[in-house]
Amino acid sequence: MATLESPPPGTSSSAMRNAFGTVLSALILLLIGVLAFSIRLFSVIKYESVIHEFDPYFNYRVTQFLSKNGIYEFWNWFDDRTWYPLGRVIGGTVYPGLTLTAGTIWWALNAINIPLSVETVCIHCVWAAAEAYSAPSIVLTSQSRDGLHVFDDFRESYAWLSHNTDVDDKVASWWDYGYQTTAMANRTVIVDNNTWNNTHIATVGTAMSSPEKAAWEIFNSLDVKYVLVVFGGLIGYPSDDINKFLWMVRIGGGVFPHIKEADYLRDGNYRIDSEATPTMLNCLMYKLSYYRFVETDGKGYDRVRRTEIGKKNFKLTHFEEVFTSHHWMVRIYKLKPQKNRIRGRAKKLKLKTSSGLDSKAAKKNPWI
Amino acid sequence: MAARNWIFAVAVAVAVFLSLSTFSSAQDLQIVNAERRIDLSSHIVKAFLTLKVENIGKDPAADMLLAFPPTQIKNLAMVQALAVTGKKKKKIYLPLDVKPSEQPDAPNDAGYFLVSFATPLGPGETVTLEVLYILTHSLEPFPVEITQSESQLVYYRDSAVVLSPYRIKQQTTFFKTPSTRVESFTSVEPANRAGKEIKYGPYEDRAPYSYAPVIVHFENNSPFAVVEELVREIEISHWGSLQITENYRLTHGGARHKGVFSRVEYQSRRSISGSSSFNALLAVLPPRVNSVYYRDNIGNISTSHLRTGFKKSELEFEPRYPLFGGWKATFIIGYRVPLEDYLFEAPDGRRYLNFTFGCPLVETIVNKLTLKVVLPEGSKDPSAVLPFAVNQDLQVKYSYLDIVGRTVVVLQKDNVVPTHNVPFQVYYTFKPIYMLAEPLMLVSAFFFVFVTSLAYVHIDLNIVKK
Repeated sequence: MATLESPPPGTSSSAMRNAFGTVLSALILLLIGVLAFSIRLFSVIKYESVIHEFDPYFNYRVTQFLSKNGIYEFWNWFDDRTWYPLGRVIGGTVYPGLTLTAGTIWWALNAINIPLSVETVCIHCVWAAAEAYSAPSIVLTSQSRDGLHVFDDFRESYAWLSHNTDVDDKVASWWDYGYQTTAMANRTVIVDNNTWNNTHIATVGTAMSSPEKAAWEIFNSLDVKYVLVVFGGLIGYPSDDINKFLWMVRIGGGVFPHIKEADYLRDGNYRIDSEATPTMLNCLMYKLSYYRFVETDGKGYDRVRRTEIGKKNFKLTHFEEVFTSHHWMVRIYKLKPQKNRIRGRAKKLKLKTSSGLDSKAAKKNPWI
Repeated sequence: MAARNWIFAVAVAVAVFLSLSTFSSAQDLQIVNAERRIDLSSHIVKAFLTLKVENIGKDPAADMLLAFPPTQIKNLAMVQALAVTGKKKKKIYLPLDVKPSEQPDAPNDAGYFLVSFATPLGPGETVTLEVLYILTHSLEPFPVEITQSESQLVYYRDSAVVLSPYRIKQQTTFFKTPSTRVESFTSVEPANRAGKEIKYGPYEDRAPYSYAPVIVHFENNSPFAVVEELVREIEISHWGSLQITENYRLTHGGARHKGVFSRVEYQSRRSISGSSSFNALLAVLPPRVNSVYYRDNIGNISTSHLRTGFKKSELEFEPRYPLFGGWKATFIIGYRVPLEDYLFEAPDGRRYLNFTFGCPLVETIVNKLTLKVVLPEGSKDPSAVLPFAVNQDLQVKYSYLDIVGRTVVVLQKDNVVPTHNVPFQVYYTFKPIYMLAEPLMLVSAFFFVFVTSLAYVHIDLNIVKK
């Protein structure tokens, strides 16, 4: 048996140095990775481990579908719960890298009996898409004397929609909230953050800028049941639909010429106070945002626009309020069904009731 | 031929004799005095029945029957009976065995429960029984739909006289309503109302199976919190903790909400707006509870407040939105408790878990409760012991680092009320050596990784020697 030769002199110390160097560089690389990862988990740690931005909700929902239905269904998926009534070919238009990575990780972990849910896997994979955004927009907090106050109105409204409306009800809102509504409230939307169809977005924008009756006609033609608006005037949340209203007017006006931006401007500004134009005070967005708002403080002071509103007491004729969240950030309205009209008879009925007859008896008779 | 006739006659005589003996309890007992107090304050109707039973026959009676109309039988969540001995301050209450019973020839499909006396009641003796029975889903909202500013009115249907297979010499029934607003109540003389109490009686000498239907229409704004389905999973980990996860599907079981929900009215005129709606819920948790979370499928719900104590912990929590009639909410509550409070060793060497059955929410009905006890990997011979009937089943669950899976004891019960929150036990055998399975698995995995990397670094894979 050959004897072990002692290593040549001078190499033991360099071998030690090499080994030490390798370990040190490996450790430094590991630390860089951990630091990079932690920075992106900032909003998750500060607020909660949910997806905070708008767009990643789309990736989450797509990964959910993939994990539930498998890769073949995913490639062939035509989503009818968005861009109603057009739908969207998700299988053909999505960038699948993020989704497939998350889905593969979830599947691999579940195969070795580590039961992580799809939500958890997505939060750790979605930081790449969330890089472009810095402020989380699902949960808002503010510091007060009594500690941290949480504004969870968005999720409150999405949870209400998902449990207290029918599965096939359509919800119309501005496109910002499309992905979140389909993912969290599980309801069909008209437009979403994908913004691939400008005419469809313009239709929704025109409806929001039109008076109640015209808006009702547009939404009814799209089979919409609920309209959702975001209103920040009570608590001072600046990214609400009234501040985004100029885009609804411009995009709507770009496709439908009867919407003219000048009708909504007073001296070149969008106003909602007593100086506002009549078109502005009559449009659906104004009415749905400020309906009964004056009853909160008696004056109707909008904390975002920092002024009292122009039209304070008004009734809704074609919509009814079905839900407003705790801090008034999300307001949901339902389209009122059309009244049955019988030509000619309506006038006779009015005469009868005004002469003092019991209106209940008149309503019970089915032939009137 | 004559022999056949004779045999036939004997058979008839035997049949008559047997039928007489099955009905012996019906004819030999009578109820001297019956007082019934029905509490209608919440949507869980509690009835307290005090019966003074006398044996008027010649044979001792071992048991007696309680009868219920068929509409009440399906809503009965629990029937309990106590025998009362002693007087005034020295009363002793002895629990009696109560079982559902099928009787042939039940008039109008009445349902029965059989109460077994502690000692057979001799001829001429009397015994006083306290019976408690609990009815769920027995308050019918009328009007069926109400707006936000209306109060909730409900119907309660019952009988002015106690339904019983025995003659009742004297009886009185009291109904207690939560408020003084009673729209109407059926009058069966003598009947009168004073404040929150409606008194029917006293009625003298009623024949067996007497029944006088009454309807009470009154206001009840107590929270009609109904959990449609609750799945509770208790995971035993021998490393020292019990992890409990509860999935709730909650709904408001009262008059349906119609029309507008106006947040401004709800917030400004809270006393009259949404008077039958509820927002606050209370869950009673074990004392040394930690890592409590309250979330739903879209994330954490921040509206909760936990108070830990020595005897119990209380979690006050609110759903994301107030619940009006017909509205639903789902959520998950999870918490962890130390194992030493709940896992014990039986004298025969088996281990057993002693935990509380039922739902931790106060004053809530659970329509369908599924309780799953997940035993550690390697447990054998599971069995559950409960003081009332449940459906039992076994399942397998695969969790972290499982190879053969964990046995799950599944207990299922319908129509659960807070009175069902009693301790129950689950027994199983477990060899302590199985505890090493998971650490050994992890150790050997890392060992394998290191050995392969060592080998890779030191083995010369060149084909041609350099």
